[in-house]
Amino acid sequence: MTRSRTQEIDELAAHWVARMDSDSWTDADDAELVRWCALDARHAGALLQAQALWSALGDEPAADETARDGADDVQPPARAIWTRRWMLGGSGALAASVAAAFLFRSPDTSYTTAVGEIRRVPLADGSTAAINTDSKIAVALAETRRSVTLEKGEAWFQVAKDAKRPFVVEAGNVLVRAVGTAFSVRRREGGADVIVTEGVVEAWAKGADGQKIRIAAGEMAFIADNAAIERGAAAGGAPTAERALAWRSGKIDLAGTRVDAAIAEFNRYNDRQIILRDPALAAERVDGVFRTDDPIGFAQVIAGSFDVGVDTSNPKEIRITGQ
Amino acid sequence: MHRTAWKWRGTEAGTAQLSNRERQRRRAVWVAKNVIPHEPYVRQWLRGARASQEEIDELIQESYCRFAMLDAVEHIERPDIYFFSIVRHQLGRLRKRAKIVPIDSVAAISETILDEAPSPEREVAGQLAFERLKALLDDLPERCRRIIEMRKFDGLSQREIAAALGVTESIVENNISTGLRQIRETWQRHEKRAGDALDRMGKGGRGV
Repeated sequence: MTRSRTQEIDELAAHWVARMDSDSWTDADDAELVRWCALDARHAGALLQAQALWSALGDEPAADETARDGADDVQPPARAIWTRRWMLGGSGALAASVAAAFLFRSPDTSYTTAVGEIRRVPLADGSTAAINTDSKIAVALAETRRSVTLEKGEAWFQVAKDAKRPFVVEAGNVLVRAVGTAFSVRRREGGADVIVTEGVVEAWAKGADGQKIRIAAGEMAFIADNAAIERGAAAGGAPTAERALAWRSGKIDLAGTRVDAAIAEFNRYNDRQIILRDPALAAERVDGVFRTDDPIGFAQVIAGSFDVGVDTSNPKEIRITGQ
Repeated sequence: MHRTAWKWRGTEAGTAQLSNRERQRRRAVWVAKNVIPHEPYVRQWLRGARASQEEIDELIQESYCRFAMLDAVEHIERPDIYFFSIVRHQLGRLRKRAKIVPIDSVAAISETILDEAPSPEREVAGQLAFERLKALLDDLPERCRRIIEMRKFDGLSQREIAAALGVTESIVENNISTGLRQIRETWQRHEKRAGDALDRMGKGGRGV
């Protein structure tokens, strides 16, 4: 492609944008625009870029409103996203657990998930728990305190406000306390990750009540059993709280994540384990949003990105082979 | 088939009834908000990956083509990642054709862009990009600038501007077209200058 050709396309694109902005747009113009776009694959791109720049120059409040009409879930409230994602989540296990979620549950009970299963359960106090793969929680709702024990794995809680009954999650030696907020707790070797999506929680290790820390929305921290605290850290190195919690909609959201950490994530959700045969790849970085139940898709993306092979001949494994 | 979640879900409601102009405009508003602010970062990364200026322009244009060809964009959850992935994929294809695979350039991604995404700093940077874009208006010829300001900031239609200035509507339209083209060229040149400065800093750093 020569520069002059690119410039020519840009020039025509600018003409079209000015024309579209005018008050005398006709059906004939509309048809002509379609023809022009069909002439060259680059036309539509140049047009879009020019038009977006034009749009960026001014707020065009009216345009904004129509855009919202056209796509009602560009920025819906968090809960709406939640519900929609959940319903469209896809996998059979997910659908089944949604059905189960609406069954009545006694206030003192426990929930478990199998590998790959993600479950959402409403609690009797109006709170909601989303339980990640291979996890177990026990819930006890008493008059003065709402207690959840995370026996293994990870869970996210949307806590109903009730100042008289603090909501406390116990994960091994780590305690997390909230009044009305949303946060997740994940048990790990030697401690627990806490990620807060709404409000503020207090977290501390048993026996170290004097060292409570406050974790606010968008923040994450690792609290070790020995009360050591590492702020801004969570397993897998997810850069933001929302991304680290993509599992709630059955997703793994990678952004500059190390390949070995990404593989460890997929292996949490699948019996069929990904095995990295090429250690040189471990420190490479990957990005993209994947389904938790699609390790093969992920492995293929790795293969395509780094020019390595994928061996799926063994039904229990997915091997990423060397170059 | 559903490998990645940046694929949209559902369909653009009522698209069939929209004129092409309206459809284009909606798409452009979305791109202005969700793609344009990331362009400097993607360009910066491409420079870090040692793509030539020509390659960068080509890759950026191709990625806009991709955004234009999608049936719907509103359901892309992470436009920045999507944008970046397209570009990286295309760069990979380019490199494959050239039989050069600079692994270290791939490893540099996270440091330059994605570790921060989408941090408040980047949001601010997006805002700055718009501010800079607006500042480019000052370089336009007087009438051109005036017309764009009347259209964009005073909210007058092209017809109203023509009446106010006592010129024909086609003159207004032509001025908008010229102004837009110039803004776009300067915008890209600016980005290039910023990138050159970064490159020099990088080289200086390695030299010391």
